[in-house]
Amino acid sequence: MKLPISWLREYVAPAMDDAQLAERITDAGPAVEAVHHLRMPTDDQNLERFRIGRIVSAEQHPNADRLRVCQVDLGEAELRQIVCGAANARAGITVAVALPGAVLPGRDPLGEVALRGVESRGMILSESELELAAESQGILELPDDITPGTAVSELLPISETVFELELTSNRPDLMGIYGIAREVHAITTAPLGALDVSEPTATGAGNVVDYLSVEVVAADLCPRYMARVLTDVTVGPSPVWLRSRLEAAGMRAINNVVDITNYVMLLTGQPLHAFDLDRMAGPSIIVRRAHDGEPITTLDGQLRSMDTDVLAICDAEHPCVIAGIMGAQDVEVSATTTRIALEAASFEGPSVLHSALRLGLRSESSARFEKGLPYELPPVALTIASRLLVELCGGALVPGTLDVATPAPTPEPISLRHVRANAIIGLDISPDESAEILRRLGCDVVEGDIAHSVRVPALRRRDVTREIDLIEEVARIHGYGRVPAELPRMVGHGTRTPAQRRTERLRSFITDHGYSEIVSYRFVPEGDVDRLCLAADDPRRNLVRLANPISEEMSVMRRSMLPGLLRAAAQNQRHQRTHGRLYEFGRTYAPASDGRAEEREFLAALEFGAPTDGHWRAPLATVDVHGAVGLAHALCATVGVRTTLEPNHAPYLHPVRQGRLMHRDVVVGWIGEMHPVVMRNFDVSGPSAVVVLDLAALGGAAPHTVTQFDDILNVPVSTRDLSLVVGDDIVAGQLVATARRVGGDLVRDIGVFDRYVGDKIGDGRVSLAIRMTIADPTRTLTDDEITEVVTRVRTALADDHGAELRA
Amino acid sequence: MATAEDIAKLTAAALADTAAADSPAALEEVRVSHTGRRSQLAEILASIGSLSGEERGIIGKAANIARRDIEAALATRKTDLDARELTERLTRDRTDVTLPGDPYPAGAMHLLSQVRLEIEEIFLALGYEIADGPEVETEHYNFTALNTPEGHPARSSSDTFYVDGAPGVILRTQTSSVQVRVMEARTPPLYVISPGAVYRRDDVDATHSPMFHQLEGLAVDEGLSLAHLTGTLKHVASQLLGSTEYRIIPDFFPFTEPSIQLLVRWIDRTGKSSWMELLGAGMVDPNVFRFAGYDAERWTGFAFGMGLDRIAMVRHGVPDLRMLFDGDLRFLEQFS
Repeated sequence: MKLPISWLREYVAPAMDDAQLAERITDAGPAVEAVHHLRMPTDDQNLERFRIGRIVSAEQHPNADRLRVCQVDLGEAELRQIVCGAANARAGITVAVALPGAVLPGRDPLGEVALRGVESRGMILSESELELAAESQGILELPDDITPGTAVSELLPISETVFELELTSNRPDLMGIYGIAREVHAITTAPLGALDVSEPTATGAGNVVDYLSVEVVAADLCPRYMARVLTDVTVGPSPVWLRSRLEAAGMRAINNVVDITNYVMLLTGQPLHAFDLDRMAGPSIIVRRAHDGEPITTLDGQLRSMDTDVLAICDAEHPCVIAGIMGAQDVEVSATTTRIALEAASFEGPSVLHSALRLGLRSESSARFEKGLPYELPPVALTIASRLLVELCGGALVPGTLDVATPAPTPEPISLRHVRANAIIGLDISPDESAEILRRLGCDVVEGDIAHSVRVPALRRRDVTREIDLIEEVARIHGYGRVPAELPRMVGHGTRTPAQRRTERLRSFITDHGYSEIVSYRFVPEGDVDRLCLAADDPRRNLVRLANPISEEMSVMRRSMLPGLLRAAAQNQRHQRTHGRLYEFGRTYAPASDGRAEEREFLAALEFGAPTDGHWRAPLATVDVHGAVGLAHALCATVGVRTTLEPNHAPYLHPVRQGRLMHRDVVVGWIGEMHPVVMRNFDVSGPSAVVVLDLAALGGAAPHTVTQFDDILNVPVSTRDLSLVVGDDIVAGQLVATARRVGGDLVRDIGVFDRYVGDKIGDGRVSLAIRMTIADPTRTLTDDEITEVVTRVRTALADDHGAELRA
Repeated sequence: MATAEDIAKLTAAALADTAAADSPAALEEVRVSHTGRRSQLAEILASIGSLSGEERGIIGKAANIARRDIEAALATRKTDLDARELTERLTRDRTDVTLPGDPYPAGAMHLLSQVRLEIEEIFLALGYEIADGPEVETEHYNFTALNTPEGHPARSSSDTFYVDGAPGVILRTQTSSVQVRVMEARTPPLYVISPGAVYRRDDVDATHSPMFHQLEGLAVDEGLSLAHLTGTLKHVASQLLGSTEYRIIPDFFPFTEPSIQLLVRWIDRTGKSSWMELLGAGMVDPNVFRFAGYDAERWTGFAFGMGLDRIAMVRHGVPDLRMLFDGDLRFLEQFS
């Protein structure tokens, strides 16, 4: 909302400058987002140099056809000679003059100059030079009754400060200058001037009912419809003060009739509409729902199609206005209009909003109606607008007002308990003060020892309905800056849950191991399921879809963590970052039976591309599945979960270089290399390694008991190695699992420490070296006992896997 | 027959030779020649037994002192020479210590995680716990129970993402939905924060994103007032931004009344000072308590919500919101 300060100060004029005023308004009312200065600069008493003058004579310039030499009366001892190029410069007219030294926006100070050899001591100004209008022809002509020498700023807003207010949706009352004036009055206590609601004399012939009838069919959407008629209206440009005010408030001047309706809307917050009565089909206005598909060509020239949710103001044949939003072109007030019907109505806010959204058409009018305007406002606006139409357009107001209304019940007064108010605010505000604040806001207050009884003004009736709303009003006007700052005495826990601790532990660990965290959009293109090579009947093709996505690229909720990482990898490779390590914590979303989603938390990590940054004494690491295995086991171990690998068959991973991460019989994640086709689908090149951990499963596998000391400090611990040869269809994990199973409690640790494939053992065979750590915390084992364990393991490996001792 | 003078001469010679020896090998020669089995001193010591009582006393004492002095000198000299030799050997082990050390690769936690963790720590220290809720949420938890009735513009399909084929199911537009779930499941007192991703139907540009991150807080207890909210926010602002200058101005949210906004004085890296909108907050609206089944006369509370993305951008001078979601390592690694 743009607030021209000169307009505001007409109703409330606190003794402070504009900057202070902006601060005070922001602190207690709507935030002043920006302060703009329009038109003539005000520094250094610049405005003093803009004066009213009367052209006494205008002679042809001796050396220039298009210039005139004017003698101008500026109330000074002698006439001032000014050379002027405007075609309308002539003797007898009253004009605005800039004296030497005056500064116009963006220009150097005016000097005394000679124009084509003739001295000129000032400049006669046009409207556009005064920035009262975007464009103008010739110099500005002012009424003749102004005394020469008067400061122009006393008559015209040639300098204007405009506050840009950020209004919250609960305050439609601030969409009018007078509502803001009331707010400023409440905040600053500066007196509030009254709105002039004097009725003009109705000089028109007959009575309004002779010209017009109103029928409200859709009373549910239109609680009140008021109309008046004016005849003998002369449509033309508005006076400059009116136009300049509209421009400052951000609206374009059109013609005096339309400008007046806009002016009154800006002043009161109540939109109005004027029809050309002679262009309507018959003398009746019908307020009804539009028919499905009913067309209307709005003022902006667009042909629009309405439906039965849209309220239309119609004549006998056609819709003339989309109620509260925009009028039709064919009943628009034009230069030839002489008789107008003036509408002021109340429309249901949600209905106007719905129609505006449905038609994709917002206007200054709809912005006000959609927040809900009170039933009491139309008569006020109608009266002010009628008076201006009589005064400025020469209109004759026809006696009588059409008023079709369904009165709303007046709400009961609201009780404001003093104790409650102070308990919420945390500060003692006296009953006298709260009553005073509420009265400044326009409330009727009946004071009481325990509670006030408060009636709120009509414009605040939607926003202030309860005691808590009154408390807010008192608190903000009293000043939030005066509320003390205290910390509550806390009784909360102040700890993370075990799951939250695990997540942050994993995040620290993986970060400290060279991976960088990304955050990617959770909505993804539906085509990702194809890029991931999911089979046609893969259940993971079942997605949570958005009904109103922004684009195809963001149309479904992800069911896999991998596309986000792969897209980030591709993004990095596009600018020559061929290798990188990325991870993301986040959720995947699968459709749930209740229409919502099953949301699962994952940690996913991707290393992509071959490392390029060499180290002077370390070879470049190889990126492959083994890196993923190591990372996965380490991540799990860091939250206390021991994991093994089992075969896995994900279509998006390399067919034989992947595995399922198990804790006992629970799947806690997956590892592998990406399938090259998937890599290509996402435009990522080079080798890859991925780890995906299911955080809920991992949490379930995490130990919940406190680790107990294991006394192996006082007993000998033996290590025994077995160098074995097996067929290459046997994997290390199988040997380890078997050894662990038959080895029993005495085998405290077991692992593969060497692998060999080659000529020495022959094709189709692989050599694996296993190391077992053997101990009993309660005693020293004998050699025989240790040998017995080793033999048992060796026999089992031979029986189950055909493992032979390597020669 | 050796005299005391002979022993003195012999000692002097041995000490001189010891001092002159300039390598462990030379010193070993000195030791053998002056204290070895065939040395003069050894002979003298061996002959002591055959001397008369008086001479035995004098010569024996002198010889033993000589042996002690010479051995001490040898030992000292050996320590010196060993140290010198070690120093020489170590010097030959010179390397270039300015070469890159063995690699310990460090990644970068995302800026959003860093900011979130920092804010979480502030609230954990105040006694808050951290709660979480679904992102695919119902209109009830996201709007209705937060005093945002049907027909409210925020609920329109131009502002909120709706799930296809599931009436009333949306992507949550605010983490406040978690408030409702926490209140439904628990009884006061409550001190809870809920960070997380939220979704609004904005097009992607430098300052807008259809997905962003919020951190919401809720406190419900007996006797909580606007003063407690003010104190809490002031504490957070000073902890997070080091800003002690703050300002509270009115605002509007459907689920709080009174509603406020916290501005803090922020000086950016160019030295420009401005009021930064840090968060929105307010006293929990009694209607919200009513939805939760709490007695609004007994319990009061406050709620606040802040945009993590925006705080990260302002605090770290990030000019474009999209950078947070691109996964570009040139960006990410700057915050390691």
